[in-house]
Amino acid sequence: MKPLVFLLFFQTFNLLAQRSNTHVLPKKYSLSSSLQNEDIFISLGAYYNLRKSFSFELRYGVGVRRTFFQQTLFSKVDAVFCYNLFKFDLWSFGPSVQCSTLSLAPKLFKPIQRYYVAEVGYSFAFGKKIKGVQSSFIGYRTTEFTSVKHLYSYIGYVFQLGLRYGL
Amino acid sequence: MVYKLFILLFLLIVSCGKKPKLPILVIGHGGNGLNFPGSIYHDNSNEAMDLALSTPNVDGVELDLRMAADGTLWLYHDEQLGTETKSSGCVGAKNSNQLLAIRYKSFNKEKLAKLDQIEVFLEGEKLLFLDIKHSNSCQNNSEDVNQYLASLSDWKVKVNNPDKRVFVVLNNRDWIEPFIFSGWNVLFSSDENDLRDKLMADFTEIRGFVCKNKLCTKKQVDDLKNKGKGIYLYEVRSPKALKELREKNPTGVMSDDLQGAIVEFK
Repeated sequence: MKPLVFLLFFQTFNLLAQRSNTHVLPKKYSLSSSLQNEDIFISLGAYYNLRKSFSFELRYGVGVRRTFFQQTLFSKVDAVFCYNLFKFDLWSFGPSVQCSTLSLAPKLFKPIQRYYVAEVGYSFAFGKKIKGVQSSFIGYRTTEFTSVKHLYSYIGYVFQLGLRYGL
Repeated sequence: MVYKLFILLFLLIVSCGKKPKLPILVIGHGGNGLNFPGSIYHDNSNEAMDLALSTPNVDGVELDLRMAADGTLWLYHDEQLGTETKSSGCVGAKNSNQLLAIRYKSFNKEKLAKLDQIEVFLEGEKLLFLDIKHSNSCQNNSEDVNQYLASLSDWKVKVNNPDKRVFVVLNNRDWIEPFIFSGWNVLFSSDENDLRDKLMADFTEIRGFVCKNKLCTKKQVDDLKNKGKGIYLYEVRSPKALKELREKNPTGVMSDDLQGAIVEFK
């Protein structure tokens, strides 16, 4: 049942993107690598220009150490809001807010550890059709084990480098 | 295209095989890991011990003990306070009131931890490895072993099932006899095979050894296990080092990447 829900999620997202060419279709796709407390992540994302100088990016990534070197899925989903304080043809810069959830799951859909992240930072983008993006965040994190109902809080960081490709 | 990539990546990940479990004890080095960027809390802090001992499938923690000037025991790894805190001098030159006010320079600014204030050590069944730091470089001497033992004994009586759970890790040969005589489970930290053989001959009660992963071969690990001694390897951080340990198959690993060791062995 759970794999079916997962596939439906992708299908729904896909249909939404195709139907709404005029205003919902992501203007850009992104590929990024981020160094953070828990692992080094590689992420794919969709970038949307919202009203005025606001933008939104949704990313899905996997931790390199755990996923590729230890064959244990360590995934994360990021939602990033950015206000482009300085926005020019060639570059933009502005404060950002990032919310993420990370999940370490040795067995599919049975995570043993989850993380919840809320951070503030900045994003800097440079380029025309293909933009280089650098962003950094610092903020509050909590983690919990599925079998132990107690949250552990700490301060964490993210340093991120990526590329954004405009269609 | 992006969605196809998502699904391809997803299928690639779920098709990975599960590794067999190994009977290697997973011990948190300094609690949640020492000198490891992925460690959430500073090593030897109360928070690091709490998190490590709450982590499912962790068998125990290793902690570094130093004695303060007033005979109290504190968790701190280095010789000098200045390396990890804004204070200066040595733990052995300070008293409890001074140490209580000190915090690490880390993101989370954890306080220095006093052994008898860490409640998570007292209950439960998980293993505790006390790395006994005997030197006091500020006074160019070694701590008094009898005072150390007296302070440890006061703490030991509060601990649940200490004879099965608590091990001391020594690196001063002269301290082995008094610790064994006082009824402690003694491990010795040494990377030299000849010294380990000599110590085993001199002290048959010694329970095992602690060794750097790089400096301890599979043959040495096998020899020690065949002689009925435990062998615990440390300085294990990378996924490559964790995979090497599968071959060596020691009694336990004092891992800096605690989560990685759990994923690898449990």
